[in-house]
Amino acid sequence: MNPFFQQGFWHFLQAPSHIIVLFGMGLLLGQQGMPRVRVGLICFVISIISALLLVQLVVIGWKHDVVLLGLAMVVGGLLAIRLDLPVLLIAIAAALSGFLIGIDSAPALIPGMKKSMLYAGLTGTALSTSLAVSSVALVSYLVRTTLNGMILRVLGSWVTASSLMVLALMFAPS
Amino acid sequence: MVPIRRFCQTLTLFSMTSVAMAHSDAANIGGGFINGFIHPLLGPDHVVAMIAVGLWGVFLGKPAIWLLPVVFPLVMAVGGALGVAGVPVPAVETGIALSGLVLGLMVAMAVRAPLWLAAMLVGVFAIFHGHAHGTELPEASNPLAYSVGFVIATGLLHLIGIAIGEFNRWAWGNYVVRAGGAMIALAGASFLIGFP
Repeated sequence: MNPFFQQGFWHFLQAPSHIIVLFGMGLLLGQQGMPRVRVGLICFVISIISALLLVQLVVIGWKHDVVLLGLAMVVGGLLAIRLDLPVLLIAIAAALSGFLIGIDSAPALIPGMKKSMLYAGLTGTALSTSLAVSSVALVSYLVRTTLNGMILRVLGSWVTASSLMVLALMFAPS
Repeated sequence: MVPIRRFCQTLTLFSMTSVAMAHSDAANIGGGFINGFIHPLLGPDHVVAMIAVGLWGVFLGKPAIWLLPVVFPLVMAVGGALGVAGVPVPAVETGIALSGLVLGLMVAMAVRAPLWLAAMLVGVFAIFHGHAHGTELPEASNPLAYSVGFVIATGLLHLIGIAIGEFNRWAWGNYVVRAGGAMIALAGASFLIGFP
């Protein structure tokens, strides 16, 4: 298998903020039922592919981690309160997650690197993140009513709590 | 045989290479998670209070059974943020010891407090626990992995409490659960007076 594809495929596992957003987003989609899973996944895949194509053209130099963790906090909170969310909100949250993860997944450009290698890496990232969020959404969908939804509520509170702690650490006086 | 040979060659090749990491803290993730995960487990004052939260949740029934384990980590994170930011919270260790004593007594005496009161009580104690976690964060750890680790460990301790609390379904189980609460209260009292 192409090593650049593999590197891109496993990239999200090296960024804890990506993992927590993918996990939280997948759980939220599953909790909201199958129609919203479909909408959310479509938005996620389109936005991550767009962002991955965009990172080759422009460098967006703001603190992705802060925004990703802020998003994870909100997503975890939505999971914990377990409301029936409007489809538009789900679509925006999923698109935002995909976009932010995409622009934070720019591969390191090596001089003389072929375009095909770059695209292999980007394809790996798009595929793995989409697979991750789909798998979590599927599991979440299957357990969404187990113990009156307690499992997903508790996991949501964990996502929010972890994100809040790290945000606090980022802004802490050294 | 060819696929097996190729597999072995690939495996050997992989073992000789290192992954190029765009995220410089990636190597520290596992250590951070383990540090965070074992942190609440190594403090018996944390452990007894977390289990008591789960036990009390079962006693109070729905929706407390899920609300308390949701409230605790959320407020604990706020306490952790205060600790990280250097905001002083008075008598943290006393608050942690008191949490074991009070929550243990609630279970032992089967107190059916109103939901808002139970959530508030658990929330107040969560501030102390979170503050302790926040101030004790090892600098070398990956912060997110550490936070995820200690939040998960805390949640699992709640689940242990809920699992033990499920004995409450049987008449004899009620005594077992309340005896557990009494033991937690005793442990809390001993932490309060500085023992061990």
